[in-house]
Amino acid sequence: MIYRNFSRLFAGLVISLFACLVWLTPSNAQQPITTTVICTSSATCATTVPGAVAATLRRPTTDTLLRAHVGIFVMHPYSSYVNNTTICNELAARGFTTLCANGPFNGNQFGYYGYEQHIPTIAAGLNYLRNNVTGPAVTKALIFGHSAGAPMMTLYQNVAENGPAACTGPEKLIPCVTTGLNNIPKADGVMLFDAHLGDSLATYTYIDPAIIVNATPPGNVSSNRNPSLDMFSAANGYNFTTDGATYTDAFKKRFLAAQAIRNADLVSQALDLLQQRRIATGNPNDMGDAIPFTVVGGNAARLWQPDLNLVSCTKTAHTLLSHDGTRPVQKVCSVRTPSGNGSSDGLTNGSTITFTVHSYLGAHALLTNGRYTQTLDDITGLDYASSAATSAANVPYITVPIIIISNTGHYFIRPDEIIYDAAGSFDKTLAFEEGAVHGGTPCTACATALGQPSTYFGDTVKRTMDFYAEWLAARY
Amino acid sequence: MKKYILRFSSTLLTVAFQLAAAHLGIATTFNFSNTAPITINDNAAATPYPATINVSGFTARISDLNVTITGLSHTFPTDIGILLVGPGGQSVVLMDNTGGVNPIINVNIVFDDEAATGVPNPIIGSLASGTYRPTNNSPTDVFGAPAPGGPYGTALSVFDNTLPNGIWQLFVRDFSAGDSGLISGGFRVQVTTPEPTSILLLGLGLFTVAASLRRKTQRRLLR
Repeated sequence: MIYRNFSRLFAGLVISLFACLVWLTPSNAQQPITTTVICTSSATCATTVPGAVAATLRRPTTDTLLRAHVGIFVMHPYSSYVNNTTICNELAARGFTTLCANGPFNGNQFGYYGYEQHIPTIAAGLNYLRNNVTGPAVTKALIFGHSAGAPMMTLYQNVAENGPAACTGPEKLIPCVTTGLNNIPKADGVMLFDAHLGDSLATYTYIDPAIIVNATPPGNVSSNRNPSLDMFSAANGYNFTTDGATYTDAFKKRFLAAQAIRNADLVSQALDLLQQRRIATGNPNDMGDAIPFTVVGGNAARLWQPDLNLVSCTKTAHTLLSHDGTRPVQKVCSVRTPSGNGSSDGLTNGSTITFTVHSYLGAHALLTNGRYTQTLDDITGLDYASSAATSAANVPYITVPIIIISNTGHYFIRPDEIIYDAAGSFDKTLAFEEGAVHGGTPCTACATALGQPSTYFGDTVKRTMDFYAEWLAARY
Repeated sequence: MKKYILRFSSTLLTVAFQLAAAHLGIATTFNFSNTAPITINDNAAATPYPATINVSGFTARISDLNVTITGLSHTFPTDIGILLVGPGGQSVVLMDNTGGVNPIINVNIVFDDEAATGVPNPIIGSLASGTYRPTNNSPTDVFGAPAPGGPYGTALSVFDNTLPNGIWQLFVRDFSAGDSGLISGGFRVQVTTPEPTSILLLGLGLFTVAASLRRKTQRRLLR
């Protein structure tokens, strides 16, 4: 009797162990990968991935995990990802096919008037994966957006699923240009990584309300300042040693209200200039591409970066990919360190941007529909739908599965929850990688600030990519 | 026949004069005030909430309506939201999330659809007294009960062609913590109607017609 029970127990343990191995092996196994350079210039890409200036394909050398039929196209609107190891190599090492490309505006952050200019390149990437890759062929093709790649990829999928009308509605400050937006291929899924709410939110939250005169030629950022609204002033709570700050409630209220006012004024000025141009030229479709639009102090004055009490936590509980390997479901807060721009561009003319009216309205402007403010766990009052260049404006209309992994060593905790909450897909996933910086690697400074060893957060890249791999393997 | 033509011409002349008068915009303006102070409590409804004005005795409809807020002081004007609700339930936000970030003292604001600009929202300097269009920069704000729920109107023209009789309610609210204020002189509703001038002319015209008919009847009887 005892022997029989022991046998059953032993058999059960063996089966359980085997099941665990089967479950763990696919997601955690690292495979040798084969890297193929597809093209290295706009000329050579023209026949392979038109629009790209470089593209590299990575696959497992042997498709032992039977995942290579899942292709993932990775691109960013202005940064190079062709050699990105964190995403491109790691996903390939987990059995998937990745095509990582540099788009036409690589290295030119303010060169495009809207994310729609990237859409033909993304379409070409998906087409390449589906039509040019063999042994095995790619039968499922997804798009992957890291950081500002997120609003770009979500606009792509929104347009792919709903047509150009997705970005031409009357709610937009300026309609997108629909050239090349018809009948683009839909991705089978959307993967976002430490997703940005969008260029328009970035600029909105960077606009410095302390600037007194916004003129052309630009006024001096360092001397052209209203002291009572200066976030880079020690008198208002800024610490230049740490690039951190603890602002008073009164200052935060005053600064953010003034930031909203200056943003509204800039939008109004840009729309006026556009209207004047259309009247002058008699062309009602003039988009303002020839009108320079300078924003003095437009790229550095984000209040939440130095003040860790702002936009740091989620509102509700989500999966945390914890440093110890567990996955508790809890409210999540950032472990980031201060990253104010007071020591860098905050007080220099480096924070002045010269847009065109079109690029400002198309990619960098946003309206409010309520009282704009920032709290520990929220950003309120912004009308995301007014810009095609925000993730939150696009995800409500995407129906394919969507996953977001957000890094708690950075400051997109609440923004990524906003994107998740807005997502319309019935199959949506949000998880937070504990202690990863924006790029995905461990934040050693965050660990130190917490009084922990610098290695405290462990292998954040592995945990993140394993989670993506599990998500993919379960769906495709 | 000559007499009939003469009488008809007289009536036509009166009606034409009346129409011309109306076309010239002859109208009369009436002011109704509640000068009691309104205390703007921090991040809460004002006291009283609402402030009211009772209007009665009108037979004419509104052709234009303006509102004056007298003696507005606040340490952070963008906190303020002011909602006017008419006797028929129509509502318009007079100002919300505007007025700037610097303190104002004893400012008088006339809200008028025909004003050249909305309520300014200055970062540098303070909101000055003046005549402005209603301005709502926070359409998602909801004034609490007993104010009606949104969405609210954006122009005072929502009251045009309604009867002014009844209770006008002014709901003032502070929407953000840390600051407060006062409306020391209360508020005034300025109602413009096309009467009594036009009504007088209409009456004159009708009287002329009636008089001519009466003369005609008397002559018939005398025959």
